[in-house]
Amino acid sequence: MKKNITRIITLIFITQALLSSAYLIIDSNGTPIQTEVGFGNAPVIDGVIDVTKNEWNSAKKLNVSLFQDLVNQSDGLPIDLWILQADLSINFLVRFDLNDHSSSEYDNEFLGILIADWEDSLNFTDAKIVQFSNISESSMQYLDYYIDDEEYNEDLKSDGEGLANLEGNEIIYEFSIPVENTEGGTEDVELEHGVRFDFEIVFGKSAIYPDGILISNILSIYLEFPPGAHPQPIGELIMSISTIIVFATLGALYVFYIYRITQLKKKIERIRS
Amino acid sequence: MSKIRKDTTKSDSLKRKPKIIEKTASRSVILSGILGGVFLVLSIMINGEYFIIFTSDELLWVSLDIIIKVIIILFFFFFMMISIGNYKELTGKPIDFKIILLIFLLSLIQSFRNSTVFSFTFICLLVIVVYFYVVQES
Repeated sequence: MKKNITRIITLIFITQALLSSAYLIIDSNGTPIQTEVGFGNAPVIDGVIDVTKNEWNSAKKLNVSLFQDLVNQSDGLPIDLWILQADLSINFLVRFDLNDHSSSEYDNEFLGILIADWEDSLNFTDAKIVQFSNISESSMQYLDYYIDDEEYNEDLKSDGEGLANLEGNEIIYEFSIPVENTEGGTEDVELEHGVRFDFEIVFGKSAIYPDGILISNILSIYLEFPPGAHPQPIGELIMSISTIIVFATLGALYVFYIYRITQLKKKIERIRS
Repeated sequence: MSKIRKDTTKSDSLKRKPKIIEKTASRSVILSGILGGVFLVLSIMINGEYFIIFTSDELLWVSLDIIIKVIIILFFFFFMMISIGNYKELTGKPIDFKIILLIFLLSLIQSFRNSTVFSFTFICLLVIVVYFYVVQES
């Protein structure tokens, strides 16, 4: 009997160890940076921050790095990443410096935003890319792709917009991606309010996807409802109510138990006297 | 009248012994109950996510957050088991399987918001219960 119990405990520990290691492996595939959004008016997508119009003023401003290997993150390219949610779009601004940025080495530079599918963390199926064909002449195009099993296929209908502007060695990429857009079709990930999506920022120097992607980083962004329209998602509401019910019940049971202890103490004292 | 003198000291100590045990058990019920309550409050705050300890998404901090949440629930279970066990002993009945199951469920339900915390808590509680069972058997 005792031997069996020992075996059961050992088995439980082994199962737990396996479960824990699986959990660690899932997380080490590149833990997305969890972030919120800033709210504001949709900016003009032109690769220029218009200070006179307070453009991007209310954006969520992050300093992140793009890495070659997301598991062993080292020697990354630091970028300024601004995220601004407008009523019906999510806007990204990426700014960084590179030495000799206007040189021919960067002629085919691109920066893209990959979007993971609904409820499918890290499975990126949609790509919005600003691709240069000649950086010194500022010739570029905005590309909208859908990703099917690592294969990039151009969308029949391009959604969103993107542009970049190089000044000296500093470049600014701006993207606008529609939210609550039901006409995107099956080629686009339909972004919706009240849902968390994973976005991957990718950078490369040659127009081949995905082989040309040199560095990247992943963000997990919760698309909030715009201010003034804050319907709490039903799932979250149920969770909040459940939390209150569960912990209130536990608290009530605990108070009842304390009451029983005091009653028992009184009873013992009465018997003693 | 009896010719043999009664050993009063012996009978006194025999009487006093259960009293001392009773007092110790009673103190243990209260103290463990209070500690259980402290961990329940901590659990409401942390497992109910009214208070967030770490906001970082780094694996280290996420793991630490999970460990703290699990440990708080385990401590709650541990102290409540001691307290209710002694309480039952004072009432003259041993703690039965139903009560253990109830404390088990009340502890486990505290982790319902986080599936990882839930799975770890479930496994740990199971190990503790099996351990108690083995100790009782031996």
